[in-house]
Amino acid sequence: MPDLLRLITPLLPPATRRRLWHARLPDSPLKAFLAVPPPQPRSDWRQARYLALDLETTGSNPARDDILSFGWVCLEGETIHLATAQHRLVRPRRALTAASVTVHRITDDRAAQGEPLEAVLRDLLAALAGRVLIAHYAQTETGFVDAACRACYGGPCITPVIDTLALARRSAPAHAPGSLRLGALRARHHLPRYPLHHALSDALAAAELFLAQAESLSQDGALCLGRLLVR
Amino acid sequence: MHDELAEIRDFLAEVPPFHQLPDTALATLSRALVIRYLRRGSVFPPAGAAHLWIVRQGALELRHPDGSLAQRLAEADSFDAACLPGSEAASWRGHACEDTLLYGLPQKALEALWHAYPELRAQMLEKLGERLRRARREHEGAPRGRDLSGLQLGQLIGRAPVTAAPQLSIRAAAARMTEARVSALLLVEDTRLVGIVTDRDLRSRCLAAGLPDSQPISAIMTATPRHLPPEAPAFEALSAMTRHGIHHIPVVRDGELLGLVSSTDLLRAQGVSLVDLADRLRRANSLEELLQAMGELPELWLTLARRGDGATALGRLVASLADLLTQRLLAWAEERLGPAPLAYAWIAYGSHGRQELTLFSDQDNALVLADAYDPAQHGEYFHALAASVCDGLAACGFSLCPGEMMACNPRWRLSLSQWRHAFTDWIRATDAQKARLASNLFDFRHIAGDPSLTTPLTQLIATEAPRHETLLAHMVGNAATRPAPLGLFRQFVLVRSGEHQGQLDLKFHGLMPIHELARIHALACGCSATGTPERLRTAAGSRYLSAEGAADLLAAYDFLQALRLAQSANAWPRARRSTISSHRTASRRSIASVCAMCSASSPRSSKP
Repeated sequence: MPDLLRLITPLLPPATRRRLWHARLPDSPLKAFLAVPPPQPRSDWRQARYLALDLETTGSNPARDDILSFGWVCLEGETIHLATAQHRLVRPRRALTAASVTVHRITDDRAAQGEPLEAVLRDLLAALAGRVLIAHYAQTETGFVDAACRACYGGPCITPVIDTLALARRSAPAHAPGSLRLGALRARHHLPRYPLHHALSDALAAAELFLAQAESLSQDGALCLGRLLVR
Repeated sequence: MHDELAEIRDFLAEVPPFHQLPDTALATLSRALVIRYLRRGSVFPPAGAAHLWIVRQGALELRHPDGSLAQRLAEADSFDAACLPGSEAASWRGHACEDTLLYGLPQKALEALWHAYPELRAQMLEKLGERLRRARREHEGAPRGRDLSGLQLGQLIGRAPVTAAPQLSIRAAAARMTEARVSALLLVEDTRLVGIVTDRDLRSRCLAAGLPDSQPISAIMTATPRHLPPEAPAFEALSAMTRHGIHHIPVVRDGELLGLVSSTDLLRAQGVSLVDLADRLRRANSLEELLQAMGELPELWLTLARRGDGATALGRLVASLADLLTQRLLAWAEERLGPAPLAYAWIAYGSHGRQELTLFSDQDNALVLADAYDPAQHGEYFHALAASVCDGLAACGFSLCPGEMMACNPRWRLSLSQWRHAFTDWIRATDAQKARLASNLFDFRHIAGDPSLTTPLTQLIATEAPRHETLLAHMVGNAATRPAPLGLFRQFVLVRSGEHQGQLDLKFHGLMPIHELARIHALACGCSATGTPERLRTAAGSRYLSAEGAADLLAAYDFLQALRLAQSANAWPRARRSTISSHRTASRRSIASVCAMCSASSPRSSKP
């Protein structure tokens, strides 16, 4: 009953969804990924493991646009490990638009040196297994990775997510225009300026911002992971 | 990808000491980093494994255990205390004064970096030494008592008294003393002192008397021992000890036991003394304490030199302190790295081997390992062990050997068989280069570890060297290439350039030839002593060296050593090398005769 599954699974708790999808998928990097349970929402955030991800894309619609590059870095609790940092270019299916070239400074020539999407996705899933995904304005990353998983492996990417933008919005509901941008939020937490619009640099920027936000939220005592997750 | 982590690499490129590294090394380094965020007020350094921390943004403050400010760190400052074992800064605790982003280099990555760029480690150690010396200068505000006159016994009590009930069995009392590391135990009834037992009592009244150790300790104690009030001058304790031949005086006020003062405490209170210095080295618990103790060596050395202690005695003194230092550093390294996987011996050669160390000698050392040594399996352990000892010695003033002839160089970490093979090769199939190595290494002395690894080597030299005159001939040849510092008309040839221009290098031109002659004679007659005077005395009257020749060389040696000593005592700390200015004509004339003597006493029968 694949169609029924497709219909009802979004309503199920994530653990059940993982189990159901894991049971029905053929062997693939996605199946292996779904087999590893993510950190428990009740655990202390300092004990959990994370992966901060940033994607550069040709647009904002996962159905229509392509991923140009992946940048990610892993965290063990409150420590970012640069040894895990990855910056990977993907060969897009379509020619690049002028707009995406300007923003990401990735030209057709450089994009042509990229790898096939599946090769990068495979490594990402291996790294993400057992971790919480961190991104700034996470809809982009979750949307594109989910679409890529469905296209390559026929199933969804089910992972707990922390959105640093949502955390910022939560702590300061009233905000000036532009104040929720990554650079502005980092400045508010006294983090150094990084050059933006480079996938790895942005992933790192989001990882550091997350540490600052989590430290700020756990001022009054222990903070459990569940309170940081996107619901 | 070339621009990966470019931001971090560019930042590191501005941070000393990493700014000297090539881009490729910086890129590798960037990838080894971890990142931590400390909210204002958080504890620094963060808990967990040892890292070198670099402030990327923000500010930190570190405090001494007593709460005084030790150091402030701002952007691009780094803190490496946790990676340098024994550093005093490791006891500093601090916090972030602002929200702070830290880059951390794990200790393993740092060690790999040091391995690839040894000069970085040297700089770090230098920085550490500088920091500690500065700290010491600051501490010198508090004067130490130099004699006992102003001191009262109460001020000398170091720790709470170690006590026991008189009913305790002798055996349990001995265990108690061992555990507390004391040589005397005070016996009390309701805080009232009833007796004292010392190591000597255990020996003479229990062991030697055949008393079973199940007896109560009161059976061998000295009842109602001599005691003094805390107001008593320390000098009174000293005279009481000398008068009664005892080493411990309990301090009692109105029947209440306050503590125990030993003869060692009194010696230590006297300030700088050799006993005190050795004792402090033995008890030091951090590199900082070792360094503080070693920092007093120049003063002690000068005092002794001015008092008239001979150069030979002073050389032995510095050498014995260096022995102690090495043993202490080795023990720490073993504590940190775990017990050695196989037996080893630490040897020192060169001036340390000959027990002729001065305040500014380079270190010369090597490791002899049990034959099971496998570099692939044990190399890492012994490298770490040797590196931490060599670095510690360097921090204490014994500079790293510029030729890398040290135990931290894998070429100087060999198994007994490999050393035996090398020594045999130098003796039997010698050439000028091997003879030079032999000149250095054959002066070796066992410093620490398993002596059964070094005695075979000593025996090897003593039995083989006299039978192979080619080695001796090459050594004579090497010695002869060093020109006597005499020009036409017996004028001195002086140092031509640099800091010491117009001066005569006493060590190079005066002492070295005597060392060489003594070594050659000692090897020729199978003498295993390593000190130059002992060698000359042993070889005197042998086939090669007449008794008069030996006496001449000894006299020349003593004269040059004394001259060098006097020179250092006056010139220190300006001149590191013992040189003599050309205008000191009186000395020049004496040296001229010494040099003439040296050239006359070259071994005549050993011809290449």
